[in-house]
Amino acid sequence: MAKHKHSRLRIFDQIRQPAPPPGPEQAGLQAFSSGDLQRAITLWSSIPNPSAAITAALAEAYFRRALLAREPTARRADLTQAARLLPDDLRFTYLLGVEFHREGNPEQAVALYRRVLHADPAWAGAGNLLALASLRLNPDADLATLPGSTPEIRGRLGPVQALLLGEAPRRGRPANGDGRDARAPGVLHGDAHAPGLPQGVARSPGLPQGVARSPGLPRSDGPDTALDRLWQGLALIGAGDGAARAVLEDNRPLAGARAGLVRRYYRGVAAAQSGDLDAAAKTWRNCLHAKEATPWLNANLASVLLADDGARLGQDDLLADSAVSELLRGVAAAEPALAEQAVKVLDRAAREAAAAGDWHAAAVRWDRARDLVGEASGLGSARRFHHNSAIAFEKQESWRDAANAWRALLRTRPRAGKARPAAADADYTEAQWRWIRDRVFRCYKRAGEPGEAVTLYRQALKQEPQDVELRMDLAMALLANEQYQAATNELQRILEIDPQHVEARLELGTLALDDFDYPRALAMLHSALELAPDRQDVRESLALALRSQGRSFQQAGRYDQAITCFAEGERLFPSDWEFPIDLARTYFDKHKPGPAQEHLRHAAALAGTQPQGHMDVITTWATVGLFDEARAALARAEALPGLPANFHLDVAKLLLTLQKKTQLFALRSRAKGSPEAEQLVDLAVEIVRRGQPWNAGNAAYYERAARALMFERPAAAIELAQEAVRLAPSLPDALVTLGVAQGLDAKLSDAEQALRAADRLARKLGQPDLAGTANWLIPLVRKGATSLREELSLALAFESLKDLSDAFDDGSPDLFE
Amino acid sequence: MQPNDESPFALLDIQPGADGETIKQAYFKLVRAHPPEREPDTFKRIRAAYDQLRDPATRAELEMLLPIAWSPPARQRRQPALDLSLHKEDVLAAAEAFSDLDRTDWHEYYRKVKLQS
Repeated sequence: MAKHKHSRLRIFDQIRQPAPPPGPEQAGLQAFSSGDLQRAITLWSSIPNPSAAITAALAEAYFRRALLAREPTARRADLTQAARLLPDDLRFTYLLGVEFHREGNPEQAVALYRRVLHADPAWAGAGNLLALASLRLNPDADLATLPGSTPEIRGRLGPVQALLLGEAPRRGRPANGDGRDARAPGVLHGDAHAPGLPQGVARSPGLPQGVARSPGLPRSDGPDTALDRLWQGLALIGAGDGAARAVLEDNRPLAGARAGLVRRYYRGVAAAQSGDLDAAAKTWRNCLHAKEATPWLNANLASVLLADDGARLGQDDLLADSAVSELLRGVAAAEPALAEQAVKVLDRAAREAAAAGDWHAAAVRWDRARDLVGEASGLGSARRFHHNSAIAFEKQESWRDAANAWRALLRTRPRAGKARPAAADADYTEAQWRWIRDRVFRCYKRAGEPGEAVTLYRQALKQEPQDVELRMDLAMALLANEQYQAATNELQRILEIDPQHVEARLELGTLALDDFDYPRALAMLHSALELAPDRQDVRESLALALRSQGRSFQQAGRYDQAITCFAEGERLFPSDWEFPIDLARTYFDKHKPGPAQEHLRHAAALAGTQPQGHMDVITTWATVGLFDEARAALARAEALPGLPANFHLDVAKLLLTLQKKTQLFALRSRAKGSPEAEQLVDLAVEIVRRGQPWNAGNAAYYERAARALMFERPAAAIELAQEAVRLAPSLPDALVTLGVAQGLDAKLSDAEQALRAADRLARKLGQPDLAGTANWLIPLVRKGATSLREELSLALAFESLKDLSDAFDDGSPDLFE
Repeated sequence: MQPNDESPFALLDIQPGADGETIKQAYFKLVRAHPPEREPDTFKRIRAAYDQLRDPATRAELEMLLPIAWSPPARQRRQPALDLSLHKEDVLAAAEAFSDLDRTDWHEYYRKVKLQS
């Protein structure tokens, strides 16, 4: 109990009297012991006038930190500090020499090794490294005279020196001062020396013919080591001797990792020397992951992979191997020819993958080709690869990736004032650039990020506020996002920066046209055309604006202004038949048939083989009551080769729609149908009949014609419907049309009979909706023709008005909506 | 003619950028070879392709959605020959592999730190 009390008291004492904090010496030691070398260095460096022990401790801390550092510069800096603090400590001098040696500075290394060996001639390792560094500086160095040189070192490095000297003559080499040969004992001379091999490299008895025996090692003192074989193999490689392949096929481990890598690489060289590129490629690929792959390894591997049109790249799907990709990127800058070949192979493989529907593989390959084009010089722009990648991403429905790829493509667009790309390069028209810009937005939208394009462009603009093309991209993204006012603001800002910007003027003109602000639209588009008189799209936009403005004037009865607009449009687009038709209609409105007819004939000539143009000409003649001219125009159209079978029916339906419009205006003005309207219907019937030779045997034509005419000319419709029934007895639609036409013509019994037949046939054919329609019509028919007409008119009113509206949908405000 | 998702250009055997007349000629040629009464399904595909291509806007979009083949620069580069020579750098690297240059463990060089001399 008392003991416990005593312990507690002692603890309280400690709490009351805390130990004083350690000084920097002890704190540094604690840090050093716990491995916090940085803190130890800081603390010990802060001590003024440090003792020899502190200096030594600090040097040791620098030394240990150097050995832990990853970066060569950090290692060298710490070793230099350690050596500065303790210049006589050979560890630091030696390690600093090693560091310089590793960094490829043998001169500095040699100086430091010599300093070490001067102080301690037996310093382990220094003699060997001095010899190696000296060989780097001078392969012909006399190893025997170097400090620290031993027979063992000379024996080990003799074959190395021989290989370094290659074909250099060694015969007659002067002996060293001590009378020993500069090379190691056991080096073979004379008849054992293999022809074509460096001096000092001998053929080994017992090995395949042509296989050299290790130089520099006793010939008969024991079996060849793995290192012996390596030197022999390298000597044979140097001599171009095919036996190298067998010698280097030695799988015994080599203690040094780099030596193993060298052996593996030269196995590949030996295979390539004997023409076996497949084996070379396979062997070199195994070297690829090594940290210190040499440029010649990379270039050779790239060459064999790309040889034979890249056939080896197809094996094992090497094109998808990221290491191979890195390899190709690595050689691209140094070897443009290899880069070119690699791009060709990648592009072809990508297109093959795309054709097979593997868009993921295609995208990967195009991405790699794009990277290579970026690395190498003279391979053109990466545009087509951005383009192709975007398509591949779209196919995979990777909309964000697709948007980014299209956006990357958009960024390659030549900026105003910058040089145009080479002619051979993929280039785009202005319309295509617009399409790409729109596509960026669409893809972001599909990715569920419609505002992303706007956000990205706004961010980019913060960096480059004066970049008008970037601002244009933003404006177009805003337009696509239906932010019209914001888009207008950006377009106006572009014009403040660059008043000559055609695109901005074009878009502002189009926006004004959408708002029916014709003066502003025309002003913008006129100025755009002045700046770019050759731009077809600008010309088209201005012509469209002139047509809209002209039709607006025409409807308002301001014929002279309308004519001015149409005439200017015609000057811009002399091949367009619509402007002469508009001019003709306006002159007819002005009661000036002379110029009107002239314009209409001109329109017919321009229409050429385009049926729509002839349709407009025929209906214009008809609406002004010049029916013979309409018939003559029809005859000219009929002479066209390849006239569509439905041409006559379409003209007739258009005339009937015009007749309804005429009636509507007549109702407004005179509350009575006009005689011209009746003539339009007669002409429609006539045209339908003229179309029969183009539709012989076509029941659908007769049925549709009957339906078009049944209200205005039920008797004619009956004939047409009967022909449809005759041609297609199993078509219930034709029976329904026949029944309705007969009902409207007061042939009630026939009508009911036809509708009952339609009902039976529709049910038999599994068309309950049509059977229901027939049954709905039967009681209406029984009430008589007038009631039937009223009921049907009511039911079809909406559809008729819609048809009428569609027929006159010319871009001007619609009268019927 | 295989029923797959090949592009209208491939179906009509025309190059992107072909004009309207070329497209029409290609269509008529195919229709003669595959008349609707004999090969209705094939005809439907031909017709669908033609309908897509004869519309300038659709055609322009389809053209933009075709991968573009890469054309190498006009000037042919000569590919470097394989370098099968013995590199002195490799000889030295192999020799150095057995020296202190590749050594990583230097613990035997460590000295004990004593602050009291």
